Amino acid sequence: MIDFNVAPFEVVRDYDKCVNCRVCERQCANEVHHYEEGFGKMISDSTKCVDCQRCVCLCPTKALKIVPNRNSFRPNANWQQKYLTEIYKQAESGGVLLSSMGNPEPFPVYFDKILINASQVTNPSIDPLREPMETRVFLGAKPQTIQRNAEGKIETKLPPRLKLSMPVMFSAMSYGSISYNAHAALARAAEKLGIYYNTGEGGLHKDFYKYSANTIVQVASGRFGVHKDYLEDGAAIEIKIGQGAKPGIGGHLPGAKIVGDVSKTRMIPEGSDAVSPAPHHDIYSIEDLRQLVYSIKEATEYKKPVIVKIAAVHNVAAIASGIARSGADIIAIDGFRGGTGAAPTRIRDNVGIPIELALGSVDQRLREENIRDNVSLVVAGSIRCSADVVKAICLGADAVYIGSASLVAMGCHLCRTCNYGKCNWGIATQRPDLVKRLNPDIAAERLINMLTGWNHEIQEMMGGMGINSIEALRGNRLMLRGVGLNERELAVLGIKHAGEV
Amino acid sequence: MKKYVLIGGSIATEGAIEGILSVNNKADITVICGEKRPLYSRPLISYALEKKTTDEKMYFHGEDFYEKRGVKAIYAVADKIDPEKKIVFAEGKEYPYDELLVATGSKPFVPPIKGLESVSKKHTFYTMDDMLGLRADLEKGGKVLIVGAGLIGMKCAEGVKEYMDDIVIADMAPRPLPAATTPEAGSIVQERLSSIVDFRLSAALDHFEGNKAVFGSGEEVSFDILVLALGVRPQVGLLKEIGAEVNRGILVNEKMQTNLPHIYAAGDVVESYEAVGESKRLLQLFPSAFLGGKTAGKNMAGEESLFLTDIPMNATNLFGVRITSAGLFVGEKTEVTVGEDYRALYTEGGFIKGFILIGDSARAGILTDFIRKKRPIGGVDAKELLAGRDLSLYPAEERRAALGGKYEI
Amino acid sequence: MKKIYVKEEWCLGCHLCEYECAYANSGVSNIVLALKDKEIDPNVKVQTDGKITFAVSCRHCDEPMCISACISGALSKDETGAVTVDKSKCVGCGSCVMVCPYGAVRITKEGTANKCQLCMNNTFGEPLCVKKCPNGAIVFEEK
Repeated sequence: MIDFNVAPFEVVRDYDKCVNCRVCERQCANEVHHYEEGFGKMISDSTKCVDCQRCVCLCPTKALKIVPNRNSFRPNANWQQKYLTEIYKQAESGGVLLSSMGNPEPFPVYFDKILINASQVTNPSIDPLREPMETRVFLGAKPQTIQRNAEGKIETKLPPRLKLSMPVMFSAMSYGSISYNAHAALARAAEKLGIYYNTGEGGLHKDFYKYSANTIVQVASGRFGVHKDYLEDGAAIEIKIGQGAKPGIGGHLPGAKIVGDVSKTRMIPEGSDAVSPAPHHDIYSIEDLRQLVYSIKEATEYKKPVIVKIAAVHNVAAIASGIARSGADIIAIDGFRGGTGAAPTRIRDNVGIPIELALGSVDQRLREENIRDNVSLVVAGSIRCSADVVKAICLGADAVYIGSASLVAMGCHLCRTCNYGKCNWGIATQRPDLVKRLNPDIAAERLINMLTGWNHEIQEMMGGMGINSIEALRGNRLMLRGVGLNERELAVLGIKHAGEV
Repeated sequence: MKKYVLIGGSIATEGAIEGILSVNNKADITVICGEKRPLYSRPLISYALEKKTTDEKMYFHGEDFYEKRGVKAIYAVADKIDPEKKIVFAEGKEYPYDELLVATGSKPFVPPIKGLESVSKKHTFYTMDDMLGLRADLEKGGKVLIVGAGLIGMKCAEGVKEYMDDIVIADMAPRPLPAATTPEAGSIVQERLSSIVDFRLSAALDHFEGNKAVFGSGEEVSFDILVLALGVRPQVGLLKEIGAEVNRGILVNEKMQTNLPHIYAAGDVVESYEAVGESKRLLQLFPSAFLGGKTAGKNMAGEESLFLTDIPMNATNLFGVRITSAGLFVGEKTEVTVGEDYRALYTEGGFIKGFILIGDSARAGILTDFIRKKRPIGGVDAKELLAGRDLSLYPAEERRAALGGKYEI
Repeated sequence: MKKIYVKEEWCLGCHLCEYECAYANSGVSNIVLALKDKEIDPNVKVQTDGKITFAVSCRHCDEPMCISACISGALSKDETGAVTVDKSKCVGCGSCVMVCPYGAVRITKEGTANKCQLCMNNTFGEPLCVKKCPNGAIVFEEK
């Protein structure tokens, strides 16, 4: 049989620097490197390399680099090498192509075409190191009016809310798609930071119930791991309708990752593929959704906000409008670049819309319908840095979810092979020897560091705009300008072009 | 304040000082040392000859060891102990004590051999003075006859190698190191060293005629320098005459107490508890002296301490041949040869009783710990233990605690 | 005192510590020069019980057997409590090897004892095995 596979990367070893310590060999779960007695040196099999950079990072003499393989099919702007390679794969396997993490294709990144304002002379900027700067946000429905008693205390019964120290939360990543240690790190970091992490649709390991005050529990179409204690444990409950990486289909965890505690936590047999149904079979309308929202509220005595998470698709604004009327407290919208532990490649790379455009239209629609205060908006789908957070808030978000960014903080290099289950960084794997590689003490610290840095940056940017609270930033589109965007794009985003006053 | 008096100025005394000071760092300690030198390490004498160390470095904790610790050093020979009045007499002076340690050590054994007086250059090899005397004679080179192929004789041979043209070692035993090793190991050592040293074994010395030794077989060996290394004898006199229980050495219990109140003993002079044979033995080893002394010191200062883990052990390097042994060579023997190395393990009822390693001794201390602490070896094969060993041999919990700093093995 | 402790649940068995130790104690400032074509003899050794790996180096015991058995005074405790080796005093008798229950002292090719000295004698200032452990399995802490 002809081997059509071409290594996408090439491992380049500087033999002047390699000291044959074999650390790369021990650290590569893909078995790329080995010491060849015959040659008396290390050799690498590039065909197995996924470019996760583990060996590069651990090499004590920095003797390794991984570069794109220069082996080239005859260049063709239409029949790009990628398509040929994928066809070879499918011609061999007959299967659906699977991929992981977010859409890597060169679609426009609108965040990169938006610029943030700053004050000059008038409306002076604020120095966050010297003056108060409020990044705390509350998520949930906002009452239309507030009644106060004679002492000035609020009398209005406030709906249940989530209190965040900064407008960022860790998005849903199930225990199973990521490791126990990754979950532990997220939970600890959320607690320390005063934000929330999200169980995803994999249930909640018993060890993590102690973080309940900072846990959002998810109810997805597979209902894996959902039971009374689980619902009661969450600070909020999220109904997952869709996911940005794979709108229209359900979650998908390969059986290889359903082992031990993962199977117990999900309440499904070991080794069985956890394939969530595409829809919730009890939700075929906004009315059905309302029933589930209220069933959950009833079950949890109206003490917890309910989040409904959808993927950003073409009619996202209308759907969001429906959700805002369903009794949900928070709407989470996941853009087409959102990450995943496993998704069909075609869907990941071709379905859904950018979160920036979805957010612009949803916020606008809810305000037009005067129901914006019924809900908070949380957006996800490739928030990469604090500037993305600021831009999202200016476009109307209350807060953002970060998934990929949090994994990157823990060591992920976006090699996008989570579905192999052999994550060399100990994140997207259940293999005990690999899970061990992620020390949650270190990972939690790195998460906290990253978000601490982001929060400083958010404050700096807010101060620069002369704004001292997230409340005043939300939906403040005047603080944004587009660059190189056409009229339609600007209209959907609801922002002016750079240079316009 | 309690007065601690320690007779003897070597390793057991050093241990006792450490022991006493660990309980009371301001204790009033007096050392009465007949050797009239500050604390030094006797095993270094061969290395000093060999120039692997210097005379200065033989004072291995510095010449001010006593001063630094606030210990009074009296360089005098102790003549008598009055256990009633609790006084030590030394060269006409009286030293009252509350707690007394007798660490008088031992003396080289010199048998009455006919004609010995006719030998012009004869030495024993035990103290620093012995070494200095021998060295003075060595300058002219020639041939040395060492009588006794035990550790002292063998190390002496190594020490004089550089100076002498010929080294002859004679012993009644059929192989070198008869006491410290097994017949197998002794033979290997003999074989390895036969090109360096002229062994005359199973040779009983009959008499000397000037610088010529005549053996029972009629064989004659002439020499320029004679070294007598026929073993050492504990100096038990001080205690024997006041009624202490004495066998070959002074008998002490696990606290290093003699049968006389307030009198302890440690070091080469005692017969003390040995953990493999579970009986009292004359060990006369460096670590036994230090740890026995330390145990005595702690008990003298009022902190109860038992020395229950003393075992025979020895590590040395003879002309590049490393010999490491511990425990007793009893029970079932397992031997392996790895390249040039010979290794033997002795086990009984699932416990290691002893081992001897010629050559690589890496991590031998783990085997020693198994012997000292009577750890069962479980299902581990003796050959594996000889092939190599590491911390995985200890119970996982104990290992984890030790590595995590919650426990010391 | 500050000592090196090993959290074996996080040890990956990557052996980086051994190479970093060899580098730290090589006296050579370039790591490649220090390690290239050299057989390393580090003060820390990764061992395994078949399932778990752990890096073993000197424990700097409160009552160190190695010092009790050292005939030359080469091994001693410094004022911080660390067990140190003075190679100029060592005569290579191997008594320390015979008694260390951790197997953490060895006689090197030079014929003298060597062991972990907490990187106090090199320019790194902190134990390099600790600094370079990728997973926090080796820590340098006061306990």
